[in-house]
Amino acid sequence: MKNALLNLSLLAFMASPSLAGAQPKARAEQYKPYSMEGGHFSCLVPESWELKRDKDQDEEYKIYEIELVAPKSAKAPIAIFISYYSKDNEDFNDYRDYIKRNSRNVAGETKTSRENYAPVKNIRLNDRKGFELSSETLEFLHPESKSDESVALKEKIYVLPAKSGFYVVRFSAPREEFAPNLKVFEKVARSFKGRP
Amino acid sequence: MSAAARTARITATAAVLLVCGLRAGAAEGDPADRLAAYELAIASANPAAAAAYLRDGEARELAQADPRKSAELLGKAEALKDLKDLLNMDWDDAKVNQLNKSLAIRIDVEKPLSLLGVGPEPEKLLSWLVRYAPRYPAAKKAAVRKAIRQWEVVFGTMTDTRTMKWGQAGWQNITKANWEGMVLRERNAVIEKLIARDPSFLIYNDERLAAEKDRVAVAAALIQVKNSGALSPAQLSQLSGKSFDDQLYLLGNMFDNSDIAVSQDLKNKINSARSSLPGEVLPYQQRQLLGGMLNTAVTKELSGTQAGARALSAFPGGLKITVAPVQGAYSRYDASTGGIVLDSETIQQYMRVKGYTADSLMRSPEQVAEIAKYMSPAVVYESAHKMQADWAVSRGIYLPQVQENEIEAMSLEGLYTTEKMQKDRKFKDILTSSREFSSYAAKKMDVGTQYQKRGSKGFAITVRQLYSAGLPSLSTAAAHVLGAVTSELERRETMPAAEKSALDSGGLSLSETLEMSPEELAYSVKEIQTPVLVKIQGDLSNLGTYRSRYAASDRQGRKSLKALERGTASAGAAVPPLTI
Repeated sequence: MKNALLNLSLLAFMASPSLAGAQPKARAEQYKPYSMEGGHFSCLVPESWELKRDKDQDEEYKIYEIELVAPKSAKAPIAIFISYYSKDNEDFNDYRDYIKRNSRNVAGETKTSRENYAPVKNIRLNDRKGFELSSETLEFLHPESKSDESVALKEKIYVLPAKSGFYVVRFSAPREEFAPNLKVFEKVARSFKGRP
Repeated sequence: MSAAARTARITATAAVLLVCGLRAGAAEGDPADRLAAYELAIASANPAAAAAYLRDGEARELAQADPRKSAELLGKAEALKDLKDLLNMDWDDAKVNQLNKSLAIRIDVEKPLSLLGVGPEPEKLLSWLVRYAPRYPAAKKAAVRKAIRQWEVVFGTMTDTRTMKWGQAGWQNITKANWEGMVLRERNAVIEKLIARDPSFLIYNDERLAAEKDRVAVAAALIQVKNSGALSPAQLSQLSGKSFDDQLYLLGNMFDNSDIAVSQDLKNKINSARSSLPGEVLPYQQRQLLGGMLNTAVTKELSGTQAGARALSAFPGGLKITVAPVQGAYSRYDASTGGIVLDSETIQQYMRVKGYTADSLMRSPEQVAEIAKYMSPAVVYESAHKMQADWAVSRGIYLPQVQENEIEAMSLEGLYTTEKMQKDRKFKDILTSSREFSSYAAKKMDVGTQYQKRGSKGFAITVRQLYSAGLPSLSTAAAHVLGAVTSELERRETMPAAEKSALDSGGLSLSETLEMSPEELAYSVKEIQTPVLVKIQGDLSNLGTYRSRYAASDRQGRKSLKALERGTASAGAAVPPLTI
């Protein structure tokens, strides 16, 4: 037993980033403008982050979105999603439906031993009225097998109603990577422009 | 137009394909020229050209004039597009082992990618990345190097030889040169051997690492109980010197037979990890009986929900549930019987914590109904797999086990859990109260939460990226099988008639072939009857048939979820008015 504990500690130590040596000081992130065709939205995107989009899926679901993935990731991706949910999108009835489903778990709980959803807040982002949601959850990686491997995720979401449909600017990252990357998310969010 | 001018035009088109894949442009000009350009560019493993070819219906139709060549080109194009799609996902240090599994399926001897020079030696992928994905972030490139188990990553840069014990062969040297000649499958096999002797290699196997962590957590609980002062000297002496598993078993027995003052949380941790006591074990005959009882109880449980009704529709003759041990999972669909097997250990764990015995269960319809509620999400999940298998059988087509099957099954399960959580108070109580001792219950709620939160579009990404990264996508599986089948059909064209005839009469039949995994099929092509190979080639050349089925199922699911949420939009909504 003692050996097993020692081995695990050893593994944790081996996996520690500190072994990689002192990291060079990060350069200031550079940004470039992005504008989605169709005039759905525009924003600044960090140059070193990977921009991903699946146009076919966007058309199928009438949800137009990009995903920005950080160059450095940990247990799960550090990602920012900027999405326009058109009025007749296939997944959510309206912004209230989105907020309701993203501010608690399937049992309607906001606090459990693996989940913590903060109360929804009113905000103003770039002169738009909107909402802020935040949560911290422990997610299983293999739900259909008996492996209990999990990852701790933090999420911050801005929901911005529009005359037709609504916008979502979402940031998701492993707990330890959330704070170091929050500034990038806020820069992207504050540069966001969508239809009224 | 002269031949030289045409060649120049094809080369120019191929050059443009090399640069950008010509999303719109490729559909312009002469389809024959475009087809020739695609062939040229795909032969150099260009993923942009592959994607453009798959979108160019005109060129693909033209290619059909030579069905075998067309199938071969399609297989290569699907494989290249799939590889690019796979690598476009968010791969990082923490998901290296998932990426390893995904690449091991795709890059191996005689697979389409290897025929295109992207393998079978894994390092060839790195050269391909330099050429076709130079702008990938450094973290992703590092993840790929780890995923292919590059020598320097696994063994460091200080040595080019590793000595290891290899079964009865004794101590063996593995050199860097040996390693670089191995395919990923072989490298993983070597690493598994290394794990047995050196736990630092556990980082290369997520499942084994997680199991070790679980074991350490239970060991910590065991130490806590022993140090709590709640055990008598006699009880402590009973535990002394026993193996870890025996100590858990004995402690469980002590919890049942005496009043040991430790927290319920600690008791649950020990009880859920220990083996069942004799009274809690469901013997074979009682498992058979319970299966029969669950058929009725689960049917009742599924009725009244849209997802449940869809699950029941997979069993027109009634549910067919058996209870038996399932290795590494909570349930499985048994294609040979057309029934669902529920894991007896998962049920016994629930019984242990609830204090139910095999006898009490047999006498109590209420306890059976409780088990039915508890296990019903697993039944819904497996029903989707039954629907998939039945669909393939009814059309007589080959259905490989692919990510799309998991997306469909987990979406249906997620929809079911969401519906039940909203409509069935007792179901909600059972799952929420079981979470602390049962990972099964916590996971079923997680799937429901993820499906409800993300919607269909986002949930599919979660399944592909997190839950089922080790499975091939439909296009990968098709590419793999098509490549092998097409090569074999070409070989048979020059085979002596007598040999071919003997193979066609004594080879593997259609029914035997339909049961194979893509791997088995690709490696068995030389033993399969020719008409069967032609049939499989035809099936997998038309992926639209499969895709329209998955799309129809997804549409049904997302419509149901949207309607369900519309119905409850105001119930307990946490949405404040838009005020600021």
